[in-house]
Amino acid sequence: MTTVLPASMTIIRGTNNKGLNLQGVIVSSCDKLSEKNRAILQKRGDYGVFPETALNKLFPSNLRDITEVIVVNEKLAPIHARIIGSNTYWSNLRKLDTLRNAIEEEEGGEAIGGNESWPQLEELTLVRTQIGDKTAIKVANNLIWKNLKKLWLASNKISDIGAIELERAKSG
Amino acid sequence: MSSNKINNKQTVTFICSIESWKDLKYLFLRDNQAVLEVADILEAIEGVASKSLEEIDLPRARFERALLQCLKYNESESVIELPLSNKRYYALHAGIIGLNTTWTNLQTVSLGGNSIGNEGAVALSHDATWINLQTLNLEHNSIDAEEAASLKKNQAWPQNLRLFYY
Repeated sequence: MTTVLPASMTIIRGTNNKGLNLQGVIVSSCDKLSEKNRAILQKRGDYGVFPETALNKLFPSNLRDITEVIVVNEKLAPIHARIIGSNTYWSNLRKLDTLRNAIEEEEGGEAIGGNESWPQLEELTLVRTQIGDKTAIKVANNLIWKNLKKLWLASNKISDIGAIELERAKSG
Repeated sequence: MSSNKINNKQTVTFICSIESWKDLKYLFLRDNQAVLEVADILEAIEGVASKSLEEIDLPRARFERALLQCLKYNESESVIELPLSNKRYYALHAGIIGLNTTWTNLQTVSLGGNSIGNEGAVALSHDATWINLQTLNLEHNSIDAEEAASLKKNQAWPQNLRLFYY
């Protein structure tokens, strides 16, 4: 299954001299993606930035094995956070650490904050990721993360608006 | 949520008082722009629903279990000692400790090796509750003799109080 971001869509006319462009393509729920296709996604798409350990978890051989995803200081951009946030098969994920990546608000932070497929999540680190109130609101209203025990949001742009929403949602 | 853009002290108080966080152990809110005075900090700490709080780091002050235990969890009558040496406390912490009006059985206050300074000493000197105080250790806190003298003049404390402040 693939998702193509609307923002990346362009009309192509004439001869294609640039080759295959998979920028903006999000691939998920793959059953045994071949090495060749994985390499294409790395080279032609946005998957090249992920370290091998993270890539193995994005295209795993055994879905139930994945309990931790740590992508600290990997120069991830919003699209990469969206790739992570779009994941629907890490049902045993307990820890996600995205420390020091510029995943930002609407494309990235919100995609992670709004994920509804990680019911076992216990620890989420979004420190120094340039997120703000919109992501805080998403996290606050995420009803799936009932097991969340540690939430690290330091060094971001969360103001009183996001903080109050966090309070309201968690009190409700 | 340290180092974000929380400007309003009420927001900090709100966050501290989230009722559903009953097992909260750590809450970090330092380096936000909200300015909390002594009374605000006390309100924030008192508002925490959790009985397991180990540390709370507010915009102007950090508190860990030893002091939280006395401020929040222990019965007032059972507070006999404040073991708070070398905690990086400063005048604001002394102000909060000095505001207490219930620790009537307190015998020992150990605040050595902090930075409460003259301002902190003055805040403690206003106490009128610690009628059983035997030892007040304020060594290595940069307290002048003049302020130490004001501590000695406290009429509520026993005459034989042992005061250390150099």
